[in-house]
Amino acid sequence: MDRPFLGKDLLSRSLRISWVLALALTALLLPSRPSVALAIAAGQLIASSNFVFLRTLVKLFTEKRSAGVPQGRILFIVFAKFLFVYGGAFALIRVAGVAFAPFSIGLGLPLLTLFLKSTIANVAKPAAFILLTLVALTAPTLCLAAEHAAAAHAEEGGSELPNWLVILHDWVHGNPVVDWLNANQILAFAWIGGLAFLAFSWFAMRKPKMVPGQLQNGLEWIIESMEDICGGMLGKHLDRYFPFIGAVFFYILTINLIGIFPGMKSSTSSLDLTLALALIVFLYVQFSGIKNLGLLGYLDHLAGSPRDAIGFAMLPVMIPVHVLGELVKPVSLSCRLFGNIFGEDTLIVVFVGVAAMCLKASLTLLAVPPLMGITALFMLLQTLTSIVQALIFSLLTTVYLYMMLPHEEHAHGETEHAH
Amino acid sequence: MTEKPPNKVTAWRQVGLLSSIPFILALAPIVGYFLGKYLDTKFRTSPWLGIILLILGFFAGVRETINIVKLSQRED
Repeated sequence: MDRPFLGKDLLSRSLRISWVLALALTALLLPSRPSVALAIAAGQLIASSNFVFLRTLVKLFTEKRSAGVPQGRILFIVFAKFLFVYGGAFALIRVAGVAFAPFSIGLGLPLLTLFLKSTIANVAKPAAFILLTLVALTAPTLCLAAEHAAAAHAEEGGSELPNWLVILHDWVHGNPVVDWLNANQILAFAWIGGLAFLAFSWFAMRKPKMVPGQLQNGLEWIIESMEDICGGMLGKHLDRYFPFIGAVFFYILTINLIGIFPGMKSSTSSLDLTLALALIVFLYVQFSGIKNLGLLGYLDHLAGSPRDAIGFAMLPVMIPVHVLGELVKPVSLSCRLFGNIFGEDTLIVVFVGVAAMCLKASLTLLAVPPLMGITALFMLLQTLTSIVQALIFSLLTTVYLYMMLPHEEHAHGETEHAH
Repeated sequence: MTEKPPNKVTAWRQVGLLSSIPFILALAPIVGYFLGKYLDTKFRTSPWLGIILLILGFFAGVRETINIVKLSQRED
């Protein structure tokens, strides 16, 4: 007897995993969003039935060809497949009014599981696990995102997608911890980013080896590349400043990248956090300046290093100009980081908003590409932007530190280099 | 004389520095104005410090831009 769910082949294992995922999602969403949960389960049922029918048909056409399978049986299975799969899907959407987005996510689960298992299983099991979790996380987020985006567009032209804290807040009412976390999302996700960075570093370097593993090798490569870039500017001062620059780079990188995961949020899409980071850099640079140049040297630097009568005569103008020049650096740093990350987030919100409007207008086929395709495309772009912005932030930190080094004092006065 | 292509370090530094010019140019007068406005309310000199620091902000922006361009041209 054909038992597709109990076998050990790829299809059976994929179907089992997709059922576990679908049931977990259904259980998760059932209390707060029963219609969404049931739509996902219905999609999963239809899609896995489709696979079972297909498998039976393939077997009939291939393995048993020599035995002479009656045509009637094949026709019966084809008819049953059409009736149950396509008729069922049509009836669920048009007659029962099942929401299309969660239903199509349920439909896609077995296919995605099969695809991931067949392509990634040979590379690394952890990678497959992470991707499957990502898919599982995407499903409710996109459904809720569509709802929230539609509501937000209707109200005030909303600017962000709902994250897990919003979903948790919708689900759990009156819990002070959840309320506080929801009110301080930027802080909560910044902490999550910091903890993720710590956990990753610890995991990668907990047992450093002379012949490093993949993770240790990757981390060492990133650090060495950063050291090369910063070392070109800081020279012998690299050892003193690199821990700070490296920490800034990895922290911003982690926080930026966290936003790519569905249901998470980049805290750097808020000016509060980027300004705080830039202020830390500003204070550290000024402190290093005082430490390297001495208080008098630092004041001389702030005054634009006057060396003649005209220079001293211009002091009342040059001091505020120079102080303003120093003040604008952290503002520029924070605005650039905030602008880029916020821009990426807004792009995704706009396209999800378009999809939500399509769903609302019953243009279901038009809603799928914006929801899945374009969002995924912008997520790729966001990955690139996240890395580049973290690099630029830490590079500019290096440049500002470089400008405060003792040898800079003459060059900064735009006359000559002291070397 | 043929120009040497910038190495990786110089190229990244140039990207970082030169892309900050629009921010510096735009933000320096804004920072100057708001600082001046704050000082005006503090010392009751409205609107003079706001205007003066706005103009100085323009100068600071241009001066920082010149510094940035010079710094980005420098070899390591």
